[in-house]
Amino acid sequence: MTHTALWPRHFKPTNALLALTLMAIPALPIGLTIATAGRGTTNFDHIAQVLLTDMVATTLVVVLVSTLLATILGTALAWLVTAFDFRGRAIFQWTLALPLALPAYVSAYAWGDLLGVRGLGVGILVYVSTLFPYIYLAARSAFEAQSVCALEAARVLGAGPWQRFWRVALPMARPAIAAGAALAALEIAADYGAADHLGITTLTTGIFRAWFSMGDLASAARLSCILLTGVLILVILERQARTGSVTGVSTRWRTPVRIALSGIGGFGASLFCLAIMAIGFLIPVGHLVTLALAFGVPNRSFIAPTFATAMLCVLGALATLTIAALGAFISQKKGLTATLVRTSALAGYATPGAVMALGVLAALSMFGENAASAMAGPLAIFGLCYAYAGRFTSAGLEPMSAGLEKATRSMREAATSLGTTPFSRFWRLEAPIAAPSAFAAALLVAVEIAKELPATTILRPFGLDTLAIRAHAYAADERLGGAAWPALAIVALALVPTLLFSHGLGKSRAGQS
Amino acid sequence: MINLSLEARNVSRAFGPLLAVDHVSLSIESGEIVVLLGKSGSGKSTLLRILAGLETVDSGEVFANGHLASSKSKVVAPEHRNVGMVFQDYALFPHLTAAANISFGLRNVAKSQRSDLATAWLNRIGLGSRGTYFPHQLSGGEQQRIALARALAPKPSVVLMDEPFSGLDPQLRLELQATTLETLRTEGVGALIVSHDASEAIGIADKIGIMAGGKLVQSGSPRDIYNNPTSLDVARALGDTWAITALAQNGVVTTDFGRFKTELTGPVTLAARPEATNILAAPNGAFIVTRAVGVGRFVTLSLQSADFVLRAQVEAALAPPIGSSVNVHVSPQDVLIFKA
Repeated sequence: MTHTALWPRHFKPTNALLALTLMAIPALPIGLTIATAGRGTTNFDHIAQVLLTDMVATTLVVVLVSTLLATILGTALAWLVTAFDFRGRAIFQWTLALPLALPAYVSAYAWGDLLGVRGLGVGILVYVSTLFPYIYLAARSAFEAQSVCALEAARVLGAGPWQRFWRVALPMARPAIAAGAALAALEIAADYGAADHLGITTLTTGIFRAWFSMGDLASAARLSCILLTGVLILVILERQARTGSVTGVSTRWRTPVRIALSGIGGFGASLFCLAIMAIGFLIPVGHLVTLALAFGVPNRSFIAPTFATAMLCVLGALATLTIAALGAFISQKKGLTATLVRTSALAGYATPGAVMALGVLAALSMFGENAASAMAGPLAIFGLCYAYAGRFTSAGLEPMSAGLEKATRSMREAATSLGTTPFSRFWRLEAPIAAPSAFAAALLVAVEIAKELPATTILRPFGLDTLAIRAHAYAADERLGGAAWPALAIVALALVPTLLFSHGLGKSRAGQS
Repeated sequence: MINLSLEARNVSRAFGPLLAVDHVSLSIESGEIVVLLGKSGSGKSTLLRILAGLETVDSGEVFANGHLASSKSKVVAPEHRNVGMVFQDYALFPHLTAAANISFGLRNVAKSQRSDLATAWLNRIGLGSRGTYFPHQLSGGEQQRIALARALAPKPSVVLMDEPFSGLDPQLRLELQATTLETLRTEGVGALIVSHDASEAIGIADKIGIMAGGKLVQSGSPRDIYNNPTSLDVARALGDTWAITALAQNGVVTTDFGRFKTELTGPVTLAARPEATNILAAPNGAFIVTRAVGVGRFVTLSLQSADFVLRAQVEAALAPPIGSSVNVHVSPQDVLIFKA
């Protein structure tokens, strides 16, 4: 009960140690990748002369064009469903998020097959149509959270609907839109499956070629460093867009009055939403379902990968959530620890899966001369879980922190004043209150792991095929009927959290009960 | 009987350069209701949190039931103080029912008896049928009563309440003040209530402490503080007070409305409450009625002289019309004179 002053009152050595460990988890592989890039290699000269310019240019074009188009599309759709009313709006409002359940590579299999062509154009179509929901969801919740007062004040000051959007709503939603766009851009830069399938030579596919075709860890690491630099610039740009962000000015909320669109306008709006839904979700999924039915159930290539995926999901989510829970617990108080834990988790999330996997590979190769020989059995599984934890801790940390915050300071103090010790307080107050958030976090992380392709491809133990790996291998062999089954299984799994969160978002509105 | 009490002796607490609590001494005896009155930022909430053990002290001591509870080198954790607390936002646990919220702190009671005790409390506060409800299903007033029952159920020596009535509408507020007071009296438990509402303080307190700038500027019975405030700020904290500047010479302050004895010399502030200010209609009076505020039985008149404005509360029926001239009379015992 008595505080003995071995160190300053608020300094807890166990917490500091934990924070350092948590930060090291994503930092170690990133650091090792950078260190490995310094190793000597002869292949890189060839890559630099023949391929590098093309890789960098293509990556830039794909990321910039796709992100720009996805941002325009996502923002426009978000404003359409928040400010206007038209036939089917209530359904489109949440179904427009469904393409998020479709990994870009799955969409790429379907569209590549349907169009009969591949390359940059199809790639951009695939990225825009599957990733615009990041911006759509961010913009929509920002628009919906905006004070109606601000929009009404603009109206009284003489701004028409168009001006209210450009001068009030859009600037206020800018930070959220930028965050959504950054997520989409990171996702595109890190994508391996779609780019590989559509024959687009990006830095990420280059990393794979250097490692798998040439077995050259150093070259792969050098390409990773270039990719990491691009990611870093992206993250800095996003931070820039966030400055001067406008947060809630009014605590009084009213459901905004939507302008009813009728006649040709209403029809056009419905048709537009339907078309986007079709391109992003209905057509690719429909095509895969047709292929799957025509092909029949592939017994050998479906059951074992399902178990492998389930195992990796459980183990990976367990590792990730343990770290996320510890991170959330020690960063409850705002301060340096919280900032460091969050930043390092975000850095891990921004790191492309291929880069994270290379880092783990570099770490494993330190134990033996040949990195590939280390990739067997439990050690490989451990390496994979490490890579998942490094990448997805942030996806678990955010909901868990939000869950813990629901136990407010006065609630914690009330529990303390009623005689609970910190440990018993955690079990009786924080844990039950944060439990639904922990469940949501587990679901999100498990789905991320099930969809993950690049890190799993690099690190999986020999012979362990997940659904994603099976689908990609079939698609690479042009056996799309076989690819359709595992691909659809991933989509079905990913639909669960997408539906849960997208449907829930429209119902929860700050200040309304 | 053991005297259950909580006492702060000369406690101070600074947040960076801000001295939030500045050498404050205050005690709450068992069964006594103390109201801490002050503006926001005056340090009253910090003092409350120090007494609860939620905040540490830089100097001074806190004694709980005669034992040292807080000092610079020792802090008895809040969970070992046997002090109850009612929060401004009630801080009910959203994942627990009303009954489970009440029995949360009953760790020294056998498990079998806990739900009986919770039910008994629910009945006492008139919410016998609400035991299975969750906080979000209860109204603000019901939540407040659950929060009070939760704090009192473990039988604390003193209960600390931070603005417990501030989130309620005026009618409900009066009702809950009355029921809270009654519950505290029957339990015989001491209470420290932080408030910024003077009428609330006068209505429920055995003792009022006035805080300003981290200091406890005066404490005593409501009547004592109301009638003998030590400063103009204290006088104004408990009710409307007008004040003028004047000069004290040879033990007397001379004004347009009389001469008043004082021990001070030099410039002074002379003040009185409007209800102690009487007027007499006089064609050549020194004051002119410039304004009348109020719609009930009483109105407050603004009285303008050559040099200053006073206020007088009079019966509306007897109020002279605006523009008429009057003389003012204040009884010497109602006049407050402070050093300027």
